[in-house]
Amino acid sequence: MKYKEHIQGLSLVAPCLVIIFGFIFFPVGYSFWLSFTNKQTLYPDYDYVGFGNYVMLSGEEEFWMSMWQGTIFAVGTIFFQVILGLAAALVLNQAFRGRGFVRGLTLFPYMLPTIVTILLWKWLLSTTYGPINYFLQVIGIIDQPVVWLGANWIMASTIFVGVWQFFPFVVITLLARLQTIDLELYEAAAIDGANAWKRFFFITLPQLRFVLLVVILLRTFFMFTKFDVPWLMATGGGLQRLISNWPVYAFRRTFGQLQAGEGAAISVLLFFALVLMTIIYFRIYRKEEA
Amino acid sequence: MKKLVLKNISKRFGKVVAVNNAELEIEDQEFIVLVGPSGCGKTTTLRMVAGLETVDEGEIYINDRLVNHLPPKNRDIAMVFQNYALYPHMNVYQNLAFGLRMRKIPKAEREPKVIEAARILGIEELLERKPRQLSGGQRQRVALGRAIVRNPEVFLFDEPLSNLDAKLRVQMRTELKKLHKRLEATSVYVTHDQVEAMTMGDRIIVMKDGTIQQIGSPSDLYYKPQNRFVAGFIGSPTMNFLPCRILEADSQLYIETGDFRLPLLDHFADKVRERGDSKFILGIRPEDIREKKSVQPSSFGGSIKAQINVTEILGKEVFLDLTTGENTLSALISAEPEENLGQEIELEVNLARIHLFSADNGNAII
Amino acid sequence: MAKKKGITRRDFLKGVAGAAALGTGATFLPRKAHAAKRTLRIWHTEASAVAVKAVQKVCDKFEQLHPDVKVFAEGLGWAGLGTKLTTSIAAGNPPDITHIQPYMYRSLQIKGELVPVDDVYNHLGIDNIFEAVRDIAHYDGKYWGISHEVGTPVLLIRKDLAEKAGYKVPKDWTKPMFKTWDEEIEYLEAVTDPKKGQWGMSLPGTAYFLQEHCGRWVASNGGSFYDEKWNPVFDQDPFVGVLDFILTLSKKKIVPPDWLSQSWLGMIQEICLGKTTLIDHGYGRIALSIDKYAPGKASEDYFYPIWRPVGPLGEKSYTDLDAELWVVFSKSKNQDLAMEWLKLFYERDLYLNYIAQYPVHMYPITKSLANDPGYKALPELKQWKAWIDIQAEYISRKQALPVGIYAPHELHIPFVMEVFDSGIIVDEIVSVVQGRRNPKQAGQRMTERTKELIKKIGYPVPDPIKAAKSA
Ligand SMILES: Nc1ncnc2c1ncn2[C@@H]1O[C@H](COP(=O)(O)OP(=O)(O)OP(=O)(O)O)[C@@H](O)[C@H]1O
Ligand SMILES: [Mg+2]
Repeated sequence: MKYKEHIQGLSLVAPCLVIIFGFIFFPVGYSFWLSFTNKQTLYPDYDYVGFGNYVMLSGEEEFWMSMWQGTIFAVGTIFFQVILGLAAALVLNQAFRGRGFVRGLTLFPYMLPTIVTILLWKWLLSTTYGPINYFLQVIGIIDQPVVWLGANWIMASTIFVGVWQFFPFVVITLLARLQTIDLELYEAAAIDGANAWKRFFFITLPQLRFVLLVVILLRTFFMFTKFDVPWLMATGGGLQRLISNWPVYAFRRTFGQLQAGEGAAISVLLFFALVLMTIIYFRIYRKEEA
Repeated sequence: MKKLVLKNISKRFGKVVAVNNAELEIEDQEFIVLVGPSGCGKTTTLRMVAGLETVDEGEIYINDRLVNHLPPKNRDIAMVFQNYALYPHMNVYQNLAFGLRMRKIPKAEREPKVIEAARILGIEELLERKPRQLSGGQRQRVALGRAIVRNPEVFLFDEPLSNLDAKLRVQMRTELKKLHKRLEATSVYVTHDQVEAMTMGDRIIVMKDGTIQQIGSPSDLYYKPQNRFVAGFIGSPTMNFLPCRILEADSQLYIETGDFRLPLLDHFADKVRERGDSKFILGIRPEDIREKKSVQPSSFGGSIKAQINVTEILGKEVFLDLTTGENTLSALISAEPEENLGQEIELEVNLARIHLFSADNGNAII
Repeated sequence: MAKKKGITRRDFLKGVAGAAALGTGATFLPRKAHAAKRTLRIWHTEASAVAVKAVQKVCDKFEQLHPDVKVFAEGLGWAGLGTKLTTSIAAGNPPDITHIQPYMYRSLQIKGELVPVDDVYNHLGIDNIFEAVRDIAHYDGKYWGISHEVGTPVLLIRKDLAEKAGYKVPKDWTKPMFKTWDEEIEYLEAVTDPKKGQWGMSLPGTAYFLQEHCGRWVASNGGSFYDEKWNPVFDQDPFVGVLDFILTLSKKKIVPPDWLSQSWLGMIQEICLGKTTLIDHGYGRIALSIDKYAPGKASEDYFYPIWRPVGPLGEKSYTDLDAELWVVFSKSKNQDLAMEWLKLFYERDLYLNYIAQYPVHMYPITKSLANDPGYKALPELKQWKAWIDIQAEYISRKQALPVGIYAPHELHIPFVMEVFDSGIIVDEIVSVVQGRRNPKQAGQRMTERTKELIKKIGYPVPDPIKAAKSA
């Protein structure tokens, strides 16, 4: 009887197990394996090379640049996304005329396909015919156009575009939470003597805290693994070197130089970095919770 | 010195007049209850006092100080919300201490105040808990504690007991009254429950559609309602209202409902004569009706023959639902009648306690 | 080192080369039509609406002739196609037919991905095909791809803007306006006026196009990417000279300051809008954009081709031969249909219709169509006569080399694709522009990194197919 139930239960979850194994564990495991080989993208055969790929990468300037730039891109976009997203969510949580419309408008960047976003901003930021430079010149903030898409500014511009495109995610999640905060809490606090800033600090923030933590964790995964934005900002061109993050670098290794083993090694490193970040994150979280 | 004064205050939300020209003076240490049906403007009034709602017209004074434009924190009031509004992420201690903390009271001074408040309310054991770990009654106490810890000039309560079960509500009612006695704090208490109002209020304010109908002590409201609305609102079971005319026979005035006729006592007669018109609404509280066969001499009189529809034994008293010709009537009598359902019973009325209201505007005449 | 597979890479290379050669014969045997509909997948680089239509016309006709076949044709820009192609090959699911750049065919051929298209050449008549394109993909006695057209990028100048600055643009384009890069730079400095938003020249930052520029410049500077023994020579003077040239352009601010992130289309817009006076990338396709972005200026009074100057070490200037190859994949189950489709593609009416989309850009590969009155009557041939003639001149002087190939021997190097797509070259160009390395150091690093990559791919070795044969 018991045995039968086991079989029954197992047969119920079996399809899920197959899917989980097939779609998650197999690719991850396969990447691990590949990272220890010299597999080339278009050749079926390969040799085991141990930690050769890792050793080779660790001695390479481009690898360290990508690690560093990937971190700057991720941390920069996450930081400003959260700040901007939080500010926008707070504003959109207020009652004002046309709020529905503005809320819809805020979601707009998130709805646009990345390629459209990038083309749009490349045009807006262009030095030669971009409206932003033109506008800044007209109002007299600058007298020479800023080379937003040149070597010095490209990282900042890419972060900006990343923030622009993804801050609505933060807005939606935070707004959903904000709307469930009991307004009486604010009134109680106002009577208790808290001014607007203290109400934000002592009521809103603690209430948002859990959602914020989840949002930041999710955005960490998303931004460290983000490929399309840094790729499309340079499309493998001249400035790619300056905004190449881990996925872009893995991609160039795998599909440009056709070195699948090395590409896999970079992905594996990214995977471990994210696991590590998650662990640290929950440590901090738990410590605070206690 | 008046503690709290409302001078002709009004508040509109779009087309809705939530509060209309309310006038009110509250003495120091008084416990005032604001009562009225749902949507009559009680909460709005309270919120204007608290400073959570702006005042469209009129003036509010606390301790003779005009507070219309002061933010809530500068009015020195405390408010207990219907849903308690406890800060969910803070434990009970922090909830109690929050107001003191915001007022920059040093930590060392905060602690004894919080402990004292907790002791008064019997929640010392709960100080470490988060609100979600408390029962409804305990939350209620914490909400009260948060108000009393600051020792404010005026307490405002907005239906603080409505989320509790019936038994706990009765218990808390008494406790609140005791607490009030002990703290000697001026309180404005909002409820839509007239029993709560009657048992708790030093004075009661009855509101309807944004307008104050009557202000008075519980007995004033019960015995001398100024209009038909107050008469109907206060008292349970509700007063009987019957359209009637006044007849005169042999220089004696009678109230004629069509189904029965009651003599009007002499000291009422003058007031009725003054009015000149003859159409009124008769008001009789169910407890002012009794069986005709009672023999004790009293101000009871008249004769009503009615059919019994329903009898409900409430304990000491019996509630009757009756029909007299056109009208229905409820009565509260002291013993179960001998007559059965559907049979006729003869009743009499305490003539000294009847009420007459103008048929036009509902104002009380006697 | 543990062997994980029974065969080594080298064995594999030998094997597939043989198999591909054998397989070719077999595929031409007539096949029985499947009962179910067969589908033919085609990718091409002509992504504009007119070109997509022209290709579709061939497909429609093909479906008419073969009712049991459904043809899917997809036009992708070059940037999109390259990646999509590599990933699809890696996944073992390439289309039946695609465009590739000439520099890719040897890398794919040696991996056994391609089958020869001799059948199509024979059908068109070998002698009917212009020599310049005929031999691009000729290797080991077989034709591994066939060009869909020929064209060459020229130095295109905004004649009106140059003249406004007091320069004369020679009507006779065989007389170069600048003989050397120095003269060119002098001119660029003279016309640059950032206050007016006008720059001397525009460059694309896209890896592919930037490398194309480097290639034609290194050839014009007497050098190439690889020597005869297939060693990368980015550290030698001709290429270092190119890096110097780029650094000068950048330092003197005679190219738009954000050129490193400029797209191909952005560059075209700049010359059309007069933000720049010169591009070294005057593909005839631009004629179409001129109508769109510079209406009323679509004439040689405004846009004029000039002969490319030579670098300090060069004697002759070179240009690219734009001649994407149609190739058929060995993994295709429809090789027979693919050959038939290609033959149909070059059928006179359809091919003329295709070429007529951008006659300034596309010169037919067959002499028969080039001499056809229908082709000669195309109005653009008159409208942009100089532009077309100068292209023909480059080709007939043999100063045009297939894209990605900067010396004839490079056509046979089997790792040009990997290096071209690796990002190594642009990476170092950026480090030069940024001032992180000087041109010499950058050239050296490029060479080192390339050597390392080549070694990983399995070279330098003698050509494995030749080695297999001689063994
Ligand atoms: N913020 C508001 N916006 C619009 N109308 C409001 C607002 N607050 C109250 N009102 C309206 O004002 C009137 C008085 O409301 P109020 O909340 O003061 O009633 P209440 O006597 O407290 O009722 P209850 O016993 O149901 O709590 C009602 O008609 C209500 O709909
Ligand atoms: Mg209310």
